[in-house]
Amino acid sequence: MKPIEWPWKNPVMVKEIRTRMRGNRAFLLVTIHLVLLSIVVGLAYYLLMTSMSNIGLVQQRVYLGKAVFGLVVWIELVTVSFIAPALTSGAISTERERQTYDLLRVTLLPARSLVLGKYASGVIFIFLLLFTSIPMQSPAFLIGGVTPQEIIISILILSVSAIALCAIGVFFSAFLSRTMVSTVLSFAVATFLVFGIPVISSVILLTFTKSLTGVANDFNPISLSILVFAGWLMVSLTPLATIIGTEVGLLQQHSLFLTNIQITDKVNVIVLSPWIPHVAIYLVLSLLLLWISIQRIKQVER
Amino acid sequence: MQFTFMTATIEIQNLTKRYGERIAVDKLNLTVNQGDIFGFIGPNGAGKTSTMRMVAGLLRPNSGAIKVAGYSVAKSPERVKAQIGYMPDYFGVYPDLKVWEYLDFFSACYKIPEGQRPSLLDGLLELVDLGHRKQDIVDSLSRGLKQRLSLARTLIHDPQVLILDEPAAGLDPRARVEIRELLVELAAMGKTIFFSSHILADVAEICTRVGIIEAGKLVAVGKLDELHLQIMPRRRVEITVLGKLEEALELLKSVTGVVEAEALLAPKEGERRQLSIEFTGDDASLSEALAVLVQQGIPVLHFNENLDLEEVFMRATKGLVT
Repeated sequence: MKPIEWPWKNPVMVKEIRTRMRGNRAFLLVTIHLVLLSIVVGLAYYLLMTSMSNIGLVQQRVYLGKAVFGLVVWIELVTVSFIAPALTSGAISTERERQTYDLLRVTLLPARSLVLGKYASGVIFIFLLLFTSIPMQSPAFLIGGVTPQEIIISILILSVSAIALCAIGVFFSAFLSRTMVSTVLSFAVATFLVFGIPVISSVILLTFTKSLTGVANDFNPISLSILVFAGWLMVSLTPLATIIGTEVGLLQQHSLFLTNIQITDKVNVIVLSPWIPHVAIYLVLSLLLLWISIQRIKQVER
Repeated sequence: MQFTFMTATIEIQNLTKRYGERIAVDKLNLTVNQGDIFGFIGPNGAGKTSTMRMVAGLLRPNSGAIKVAGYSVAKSPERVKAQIGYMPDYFGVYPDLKVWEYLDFFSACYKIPEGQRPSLLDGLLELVDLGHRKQDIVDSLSRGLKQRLSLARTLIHDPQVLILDEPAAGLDPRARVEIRELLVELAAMGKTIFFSSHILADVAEICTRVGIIEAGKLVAVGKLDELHLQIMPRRRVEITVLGKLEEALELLKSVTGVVEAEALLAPKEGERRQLSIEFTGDDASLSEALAVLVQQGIPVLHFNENLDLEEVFMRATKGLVT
């Protein structure tokens, strides 16, 4: 009988985690991340508190709590966008550069274990950063205004972002022999997904909103619905827009799963809350990129 | 009557590898038998590393077939991997790993059960004489020690065949001797060793068979003495006598098969004199030459046929590069 290959016994993952956590590098990175986050959150809290005339009001407290919470989530998203690709963009290419790739390929280690081991070690480390920063959201809990649903959704979106961005890094490093090129491309794609799409979407929205104002009724309802779905998909493609879109849905309609978009007096489109397609798209994208990377590693050099 | 059957451990048939227009390996046919220490020599760019990487399943040939221990490299790569230990001509370093962690990691890659690893690692480190450096960081080892560690890595899964690309390259004389001794020890343990080297003295010293490759083609293969007979028109024997140099030279010139006898320029200390003969006869005639000297009362201190691989190599190759 073939012995069971437990995922946590993947030799590549064990080695990567062992070397990554060795010494004080990992400890310093986590500490610096938390210290910077504390400073930013503390400053934001102080500035908002001093700028508010009457903090005793419930509405102002809710605003303050949401603002602090939103800031922490945004900082976490920036952290994930910059650290996740860096953790995995050298996963396979570094093995080639260190001349250890052939040593691994000649063993009985399956290509799947090599790719998934490298990937898992990156994801685990970024999760360490994410989960150690959860207490930084505690001021928001103390002040109030943040619901458990918002916390869970934000953690979910940050987690799938980390999962997808790590997969992008592994993908480029499986195909490129130089870590430098792989890192640049991984960052380019990560930046486009996290910041590029919202910027492009905003430009499109600002350009077309004016020209469409008042003429929406002239459009065919089906064409209009397709346009709305396409726009909603754009929102779901990027974590920042997804968080904002989900929050708007929660605030305006108190619905976690569905959002009602009123286009005209007659046309009303019901769509899934953006976090659902976002999670689905990012998870499918991650699986696809990992599968392609495994196929690449399986190929014998020509 | 007892028969010994030589089983082919590595069989290479019509192997061809092209890199664009350049042919690195050209219809190569080669057999390495079980228990052989097979020395694979050739100039730089002759196709040694490409051949070895194809045997290890790391490089896809354009045509031809390779079998290792009866398994096809193309059709059963996993079975072949279980049978071979491959050591490239460079040492892949994980800078943060300790010596034992490095071997433990590769043990896991070879699916050695966790419970068996500590004793296996200790045994391997003892074999390559690295037990005292077990807790050291791999990157802190000297090149010679890294080579020994690399050799230990190739032995983790107890492979039958070792494919070693330039195992002694860049080593100091002591480390070279140690690696050479290790290879002999491994061969005594029943391993088949297929290794390449530029250090012809090492190859001549330990190899049971030698293959010479040039421009992707195998130009000569066989035991060193067979190659000598095939390639060298004359055998060369070096003799040291105690005085009586002129007398010895005259006597040797009269022996059948001796075409030339001359004194060597560098005299040995004291009464010792060195001479050499060029010889075309067989082993029986050669023993006759020694008998003649002894019968005529010439004190012979040293009588040795010089199987000079360097000369064989120079004659077999033409300095072609693809």
